[in-house]
Amino acid sequence: MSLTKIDPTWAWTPYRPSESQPWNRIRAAHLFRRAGFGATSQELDAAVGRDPDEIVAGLVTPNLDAEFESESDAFATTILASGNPKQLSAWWSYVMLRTPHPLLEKTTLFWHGHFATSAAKVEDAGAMYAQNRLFRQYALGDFGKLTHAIARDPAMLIYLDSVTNRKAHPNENFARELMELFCLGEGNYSEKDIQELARCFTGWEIRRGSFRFNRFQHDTGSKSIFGQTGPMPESESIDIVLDQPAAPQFIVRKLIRYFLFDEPAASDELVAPLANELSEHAWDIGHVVRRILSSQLFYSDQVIGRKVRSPVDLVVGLLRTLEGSTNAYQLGDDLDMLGQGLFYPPNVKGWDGGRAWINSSTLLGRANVIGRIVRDEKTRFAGVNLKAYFDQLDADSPAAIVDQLVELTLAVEPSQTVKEQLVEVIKRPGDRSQRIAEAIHALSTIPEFQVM
Amino acid sequence: MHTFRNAGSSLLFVLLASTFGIADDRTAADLLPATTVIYAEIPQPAALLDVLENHLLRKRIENLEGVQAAYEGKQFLQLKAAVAIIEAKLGQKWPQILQSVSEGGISLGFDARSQGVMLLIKARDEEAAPKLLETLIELARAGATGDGKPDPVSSGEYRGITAYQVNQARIATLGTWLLVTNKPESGKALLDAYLDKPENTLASNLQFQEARSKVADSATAWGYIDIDTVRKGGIAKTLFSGKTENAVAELLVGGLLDTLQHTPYATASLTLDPQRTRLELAAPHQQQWTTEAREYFFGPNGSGRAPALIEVENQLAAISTYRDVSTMWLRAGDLFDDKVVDQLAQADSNLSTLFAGKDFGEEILGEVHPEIQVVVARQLFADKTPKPAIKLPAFAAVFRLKDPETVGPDFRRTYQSLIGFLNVIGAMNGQPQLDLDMDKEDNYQIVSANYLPEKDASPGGLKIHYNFSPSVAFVGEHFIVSSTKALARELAVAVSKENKPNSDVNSFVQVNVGGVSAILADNRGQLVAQNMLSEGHSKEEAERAIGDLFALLEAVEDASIDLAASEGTLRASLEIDYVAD
Repeated sequence: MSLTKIDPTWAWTPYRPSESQPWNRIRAAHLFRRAGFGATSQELDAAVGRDPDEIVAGLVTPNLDAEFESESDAFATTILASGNPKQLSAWWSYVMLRTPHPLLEKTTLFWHGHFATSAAKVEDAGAMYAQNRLFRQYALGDFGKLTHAIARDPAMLIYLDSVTNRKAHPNENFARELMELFCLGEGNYSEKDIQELARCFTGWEIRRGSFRFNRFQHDTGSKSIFGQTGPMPESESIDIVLDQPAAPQFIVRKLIRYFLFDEPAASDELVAPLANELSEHAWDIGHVVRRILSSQLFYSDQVIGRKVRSPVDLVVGLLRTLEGSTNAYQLGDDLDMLGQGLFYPPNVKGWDGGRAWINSSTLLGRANVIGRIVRDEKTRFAGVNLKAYFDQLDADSPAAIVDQLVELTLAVEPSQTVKEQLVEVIKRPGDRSQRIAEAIHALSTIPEFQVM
Repeated sequence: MHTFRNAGSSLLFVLLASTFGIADDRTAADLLPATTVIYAEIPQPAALLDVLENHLLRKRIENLEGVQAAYEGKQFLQLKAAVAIIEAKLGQKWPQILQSVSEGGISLGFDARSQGVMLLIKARDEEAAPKLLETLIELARAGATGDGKPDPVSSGEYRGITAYQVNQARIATLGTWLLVTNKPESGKALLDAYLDKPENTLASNLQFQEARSKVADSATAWGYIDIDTVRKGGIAKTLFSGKTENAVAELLVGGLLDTLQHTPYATASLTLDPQRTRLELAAPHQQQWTTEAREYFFGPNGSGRAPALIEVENQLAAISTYRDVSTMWLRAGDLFDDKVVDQLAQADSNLSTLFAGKDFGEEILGEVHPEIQVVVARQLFADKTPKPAIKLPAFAAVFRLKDPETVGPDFRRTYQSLIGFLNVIGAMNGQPQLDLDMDKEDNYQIVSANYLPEKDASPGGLKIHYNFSPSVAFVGEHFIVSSTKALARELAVAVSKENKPNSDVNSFVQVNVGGVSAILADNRGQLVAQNMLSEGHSKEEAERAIGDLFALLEAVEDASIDLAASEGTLRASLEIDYVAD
């Protein structure tokens, strides 16, 4: 069945393991790749013994590890003392590598790309971190509350040149992006709506890094947005935008693209059921994400291996899959080089994603980065080198190592020829860990490695 | 068998091989060619091993997590296995083997003519070295055979002496000597010298003899470099050019460059004992070698002396020096290239503006005596003080003014202008503001500025600004510029009480390593976080790594560096004292 003609009823029916679609390590690996950054061999072993729906429920509503959360906060606070936003990239890379809540982190990354704000312009590490916490707080929560919060977020307003907004000259930037990029999408509003909405945000200012409402600069006059008229004090205007039927459709379509497939854009028919549920569940993102990750469509051949890996999926995914740890500064730089600098999205639209991740230059760059990381002396796998790591997995022959690598890292089985070539690389004389690193480098160059 | 090969090769390199002998009292310098330009010697390796065995640092190093991990590593285990084989073959423990093979000393030379590095190890007797070499060669060959590799050791003869080659190393034993070199010509020269006993060797070089005579017999190791030959050979041209092209480098070492342009040689000697390490670098020095442009460095006729150290509580480091910075500033055209001179001219113009139009080089720096001291101290951050997330040490410079009555008010006004300027810049960037204050005591006056606490601290905690309360103090003829009011006050009190004569050296640096350790402990959270990011460590691993750093620092009590030019010698020394167990 083509993705354009997909039956919504079938698509969103919860997945139930069957003989034709068994719950196995391959499907579990797919879930963890999409809902996080991949799974280790032990995690897959544990997952196949559990109900997939139960696993997804756990991912969507995690019992937050208080120790990790407080450690992560303290860690970030320490990093912020330097005042350097670049260090935040390293911090977030580190958190992604070690978080016990991968879906929460992956969805935080989704909102970072959605409400794109770049430290290159904001330059205030504290403000960027505060915004990141906001994304994490609402990542799987109430999108309405997140939108209200982001409207007053210092980093966002600095990024959109909205640190001052006077009634005499309303700044339309935030109003425009709220409709076009954050809530509704193009074609679902008029220029007049933007102008009127911008009037609602007059008096919203950033002073010394904090939000301030300047009542003397707020336009208290009557406004008319989407047919509703009134003074619309403060945030009431945002609710009017969120109440538009296009809003839940816009968000669901983006979530489908993020979690399911890059192309083609999901049809209105496919989007509609989940958009309705999003409205009925008071903008509960967690509910929709759970429906997506538990659906028949999610585990279908139309979805598995149909999404291009983002640099984060590629690099963090490989490391998490093999329990890797490495120099987080270098990792942050690597992601930046591959076009996904954390805290540094390219523009207000965020990352284009999909096929845009790959071109002749980045394809080579992606393989080179993988090669560098696995050869880096600071990179360890469960604290040991690659040979010792695969020994721990009882993969002590070149063929067994390749089988493990393929199962853990690839959504699509490569050809037998490729696997044989990888075995030959590992068989070469010399240090076994170096040979395995070379095999992973070689693996990273094949097309199957670029998708998940 | 792979193990054997690796371990064998490693040891081969560590020990650098062996051969035959006849009792002879010749030194390594008697065998090295007269064209040797670099020479280093450990006269009594056994004594060195003994010091290392009993050194205070040894146990601490061995207990470090990283070292413990290395002990369990593959390479160490391979080496250990190889050592066990050697011990079994030779019937001796490893320390005894090393002792017998190197009892007569270990020497290293670099010959300018053959461009070869030559290692000479003198054994206790004629049997020790050949036995060890033979065992190592066996090991290397066994390892290669096991790995299906070709024989890694080849041999040849020269004047009836068998020499072996492993990779680039040529090895032979002769009498009590084990000779190793990387060039065939160098090897031949050594064998010729041993057999022919020529008169013209390094030992007959008068310059070398003079250098040797100046090194204390108690030195654990010493080295010599023929700077004249190196200089004429066009090596390290920048070093011998006499220019630094960098104002800070000029201020720190500029005076040494004149000496390097003329001095014929330099020596280094290292003295190790369990409580102390001392490294001394020395070179012949003549006052006439100092150019007029660099008189600022050593003073007229080399008479410049660093002021006596002012000590304060929690001192981390102190630098005391003689530098006539006014003269250096005005002589910039003679010392630097056009680019640096332009930069300094620009700085001069800006600083002259800041000092209300006074000529910075002449009227500001010219009012300061050349005896300067810089003090760095740990801050304790009393409860009332806002505590910044990153805790920096306080630092201050102490100057003596030539005409404090006239210049003092100028400096005070300039300081106030500067604080106002910083407040304007700070306000533009959303940074906290400085609040001026003035304290007057009988003996001194302090003008200071404190950062006002912010209403809403950023998520990163208090800003780095709260490490500073920039201050100036006036104490008689002394003028103090300090990063904090507390240090300014402490120095003002100390200066008003003390009046010690100058030291007898040009410059010295003293570091209280215990204090450095304390300030690192103040920032332990930062260090752990940085380690987690840069090494990919978990918090526990990072805590352990930082713990290792502290464990090492705790072993060192303090360190000092002196620079003195006297009695025809330019001498720099580094001394490290260890904490007794």
